[in-house]
Amino acid sequence: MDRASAPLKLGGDLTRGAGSAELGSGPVASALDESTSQRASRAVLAGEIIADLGRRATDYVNEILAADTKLVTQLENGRRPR
Amino acid sequence: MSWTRTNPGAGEPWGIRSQASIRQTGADNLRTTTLTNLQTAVTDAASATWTAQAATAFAASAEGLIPDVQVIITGLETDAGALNQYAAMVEQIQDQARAVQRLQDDAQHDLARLLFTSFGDTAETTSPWSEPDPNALERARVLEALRVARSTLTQVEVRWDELALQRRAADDACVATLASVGSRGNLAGLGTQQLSYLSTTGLLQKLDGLSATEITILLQNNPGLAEKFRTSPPDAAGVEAWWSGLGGASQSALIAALPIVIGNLEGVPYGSRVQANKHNISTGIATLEKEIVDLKKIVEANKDGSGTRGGGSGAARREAQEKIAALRDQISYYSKLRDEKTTFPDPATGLPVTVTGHNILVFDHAQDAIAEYSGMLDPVTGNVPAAVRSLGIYVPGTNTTLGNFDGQVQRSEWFVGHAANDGSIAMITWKGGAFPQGGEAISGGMTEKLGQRLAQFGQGVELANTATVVGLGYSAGGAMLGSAERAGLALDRSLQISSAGMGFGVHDLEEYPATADVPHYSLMAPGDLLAYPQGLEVGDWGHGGSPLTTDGFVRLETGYLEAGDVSSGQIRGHSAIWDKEGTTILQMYNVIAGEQVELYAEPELISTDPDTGRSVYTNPVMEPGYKPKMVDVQGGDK
Repeated sequence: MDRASAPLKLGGDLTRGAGSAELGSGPVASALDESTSQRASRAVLAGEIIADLGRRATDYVNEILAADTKLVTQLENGRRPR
Repeated sequence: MSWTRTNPGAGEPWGIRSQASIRQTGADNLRTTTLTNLQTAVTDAASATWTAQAATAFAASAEGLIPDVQVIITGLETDAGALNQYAAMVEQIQDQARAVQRLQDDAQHDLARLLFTSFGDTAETTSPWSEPDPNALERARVLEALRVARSTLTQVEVRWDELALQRRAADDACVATLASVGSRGNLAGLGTQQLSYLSTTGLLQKLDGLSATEITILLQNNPGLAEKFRTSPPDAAGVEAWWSGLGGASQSALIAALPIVIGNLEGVPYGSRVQANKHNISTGIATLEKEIVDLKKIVEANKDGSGTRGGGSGAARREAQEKIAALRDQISYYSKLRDEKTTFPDPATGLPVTVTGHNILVFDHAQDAIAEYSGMLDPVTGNVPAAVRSLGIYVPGTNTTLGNFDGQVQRSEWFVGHAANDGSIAMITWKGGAFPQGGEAISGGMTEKLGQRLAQFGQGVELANTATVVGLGYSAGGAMLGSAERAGLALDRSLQISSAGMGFGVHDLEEYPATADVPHYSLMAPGDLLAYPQGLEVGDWGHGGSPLTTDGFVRLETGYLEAGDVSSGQIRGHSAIWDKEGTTILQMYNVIAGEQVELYAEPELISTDPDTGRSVYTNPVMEPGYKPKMVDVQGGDK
């Protein structure tokens, strides 16, 4: 999931928006700025959720693995699991 | 940089295309990686290899993200398309502009050249020669050339105008696409400029249907949005209709993403406000924790100070440590408001019901504002239940803070928990902003503003039936209650308790537009110093007329420290009226409940010393054989 979140980090070139002079027009520049700013916010929020999902899934898997390992150890030691 | 009429092609098409390319690449990457991975994750979670409940929750979360990612991809592609088209149009305009510029340069050059020829300066102005002109042919040729040059320049001006129109059209088309649904999803039409023109009522309509993410984006991009609701609140009846027309998903999104507005918005059902205010309490806790982090830095920076001589680093460290302790207490209180289990009698059955967290109807840490409902809310409507027959709104007095508000709520809870209450009495304790502290209490302007806020709060009180609403104002809270009544607060009964006055500038019950004709009661114990400044006003100071002497008020007896027991002694002063065993608090309960109350036993003049001018009065309640004069509490039409 971490890999999936990476592309959502839009980077400076996208968030720079149209403040750049090459667009040459005030209305277009500000419209592009606003559109880009809204999108950047959406991407950041989605990226945070994806990263959080990834962390939770990883924690979940690690817990299962740890439980498995504990159970295997107990069985190998001839003890009944509680 | 902006284009001008004579430079309509300003801008760099390559730069615009570069911006388009970045967006298209971003869209492609998102589609091939993030979107695919999310879809795969959802599919995997639903597969037979992972069957736990966590799989369902994981899949739901991941699936919920897909629409947002798709909006991002579509938006990037839409913008890329708009920018490419724009670049092509700008390029075209530039080509045409160059041609027009050449034409203009040539014509201007011709004109200048012709004007410097032998006849150029006179060809156009000199009258026809009266005698044969040896240079007639040449003169005519120059004249014609000048006409052509000037005509060309006129055409050039028309072309510049045309190109300016083309550029404006190109701009408009690009802006329209960049602001379209394709580019912005549901946020189309909700740009900063558009939002700034909307009233708060109009804003609410626009929020319908937005996801929590989208509302959050709006807030991030328009930080003044929430403040607008505080300074220009929409009409409560309109809010109520708007909220009830929203779907459950929209309501949840608003509670999650805009809690500071929803938690404090009159017209939203109390149950939903309570949910929103849990978020606001968490935000308040986070703010306090951040303050502690900053204070710990001060403690650390001053850890070597002696702290024994009252100055230098030791004093700074001690001060920071004291503040940290106070902030921790406040965090503990906030946590209690959010998480504590409380039990109330169910108004429908009378049986105790336990709920998690307090019913917080107002919470704004930054504005020092809070209000708590003591009692059960209707689980279906989220409002005051039908079984409640009397709702008291208690406004405490000077020095009330978020730190000691709990003590004020306990006073309200005493009424709710009274043995005679079968669930038909509920209370709201209100502190809708920073209350006066210490000497500020004298400011009528301050209590008046709070009163206006209380009147606004009153608009949000939604009753299931014809339950009675009773206002109770204590000390400076009495002045706030009076100011609220002047601002239109609707009540069935009003009770001024040890009050500072009827409200800044108010001297007659007729000045209360909605409550002039409802019963007004007052309580003030002997020896309460607040009786003396009542009625005095100078500039911003003072709180209007006295609730003890103004026509229309019914003054009630404050009685004994233990109700019905003359031997316990008489209640005296400003605060003893809250004694849980005393007569006064029972009188308050009876005003709320609409039972019988004891009228004030007026002392009578015995004598006046002619030398000192001091008068001696009877004290009827302490005299043997005193019989209380009881009357029924009157109702009143709101």
